[in-house]
Amino acid sequence: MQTPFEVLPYSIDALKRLLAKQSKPSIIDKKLHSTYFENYFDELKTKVILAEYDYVDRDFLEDYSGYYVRCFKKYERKCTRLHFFGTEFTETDFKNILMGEISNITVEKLQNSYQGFLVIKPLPETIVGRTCLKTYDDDNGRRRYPTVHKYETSLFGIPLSTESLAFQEQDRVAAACATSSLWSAFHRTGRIFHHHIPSPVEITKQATTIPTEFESRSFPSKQLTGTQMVHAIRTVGLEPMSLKANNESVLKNTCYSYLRGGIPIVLCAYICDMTTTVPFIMGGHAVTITGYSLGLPKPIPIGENGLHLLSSRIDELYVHDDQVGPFARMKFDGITISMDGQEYNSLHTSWRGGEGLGPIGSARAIPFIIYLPLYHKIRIPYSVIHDNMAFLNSIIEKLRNENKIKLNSSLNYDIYLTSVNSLKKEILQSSRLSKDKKLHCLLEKMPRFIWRVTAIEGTNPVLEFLFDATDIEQGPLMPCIVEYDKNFTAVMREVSKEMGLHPEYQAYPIWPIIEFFSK
Amino acid sequence: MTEEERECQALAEEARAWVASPEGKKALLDALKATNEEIKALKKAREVDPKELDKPMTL
Repeated sequence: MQTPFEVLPYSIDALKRLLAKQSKPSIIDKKLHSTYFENYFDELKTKVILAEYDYVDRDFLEDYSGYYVRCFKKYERKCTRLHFFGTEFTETDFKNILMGEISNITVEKLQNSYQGFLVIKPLPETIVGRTCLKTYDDDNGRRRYPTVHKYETSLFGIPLSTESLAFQEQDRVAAACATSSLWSAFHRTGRIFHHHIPSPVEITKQATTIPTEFESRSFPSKQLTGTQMVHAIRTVGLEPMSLKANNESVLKNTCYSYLRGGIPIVLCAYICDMTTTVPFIMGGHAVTITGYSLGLPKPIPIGENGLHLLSSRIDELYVHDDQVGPFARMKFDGITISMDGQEYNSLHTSWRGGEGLGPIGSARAIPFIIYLPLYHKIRIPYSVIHDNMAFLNSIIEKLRNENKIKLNSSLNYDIYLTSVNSLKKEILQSSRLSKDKKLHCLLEKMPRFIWRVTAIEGTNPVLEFLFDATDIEQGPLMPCIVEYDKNFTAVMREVSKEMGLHPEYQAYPIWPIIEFFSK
Repeated sequence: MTEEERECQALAEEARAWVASPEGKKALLDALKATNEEIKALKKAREVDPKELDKPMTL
């Protein structure tokens, strides 16, 4: 009889042996996940794997009852869950804890060193099931993972937790890549917008109620189209918003502004094999964007009058790529790909070209569309706020160039979606605001979702705009301005009063801001 | 009114006078027009081609 658990010192070979128990070593070796996990656990400095056998995983059980149970061949329904720890202990130490005996390890030490878990599905190839792993450290604030939240687990009665976002590999039966990416996204949106989190088989069932032009059966699931993905998002009660994603600025700015609000994004890209003389598209692929790195030293403006956006400092996106692993890097390295007489922006990935035999990174991603699963009350898109700020900035820059406003450099703008609760929590802890202003802001009635724009000179905030994200586009949008620099706002008030007298300015979206300042 | 507040008020009034002047007005309207062009290009860059929605994700 198999023991309910096993404790092993961590090594990539030990991990591969565990992954291959229901599969084959040759299959595990070929998987990109193996290389990815090797680097990941090295970085996390993992010391111990605890394998929990006969684990019942709800998501796999749903897939099992939806498909595998009706196969002629008998598939196991119970999984193995691997727990990872950053501290050393033995099987005897762990048993002693369970028996309440004196042990070389304490429950507290186990909890503090917990790095998350990985469920192994009892399938021949696609074995990586629900996986919640701790992220890399933030590298002095460079790496940001705003979509993670606490996952609590119980290991034979010991409560453990980790901050993560669930990941799993597609099984090519109940789920294709698009299903896996939606499943991860729903794990986050379910938490923040309080909807049911469907299992992969449920997502595929719902999505494939929309027919496609080409032959495609629901199960085994090999693919989903954008239309089907949009339908799956609607099915959980969210509003899908889609945007073209090949423009680097659009991709970076949109990702930053929604991710910072905790909303994950589904990115669809063409994976392009670069090992051949002429790059060729291997196929379409969907991943979940979960975080980003602000690795560039300063913002890069778009165009002559372009805003200096903090989001333009992004140099990497962290994605749940079901073919690679959780929080995998996609890097902006400026390389474009020429195809059919057109240039496409592309991202460095961890994929292998050359039919899986090329080096890591020899297949690149050409992003082409993003889907945002939004709560229905988030009505004003990022683009409206961006465009308003672009017009305002062009006025400020003119005043600055004429020395009519005291600014040593162009303003940098930090634009992101937030909630009234997060905002007020931050205001409550702020030391920059005067007591009166703080009280005024905290008592001010605000909508549930807010677009927050902070204009910054160097490292000092000058002004903050709070836009109502639940309003209509032609509405007043702006419930509040937080002034940090009285000199700056004094100039803006006088300038706005003057501009308010000239109807020529009414044609531009800056008008509501002029009206607000001239009050 | 403190010295700093007086300076601040003077600068604000100077800025308003410049905005009211023909060259100030022209400079601002030119800047808004240029931004409008950039925004138009961005709008196009964000727009989804409906055909893209039918592309299957197969990998």
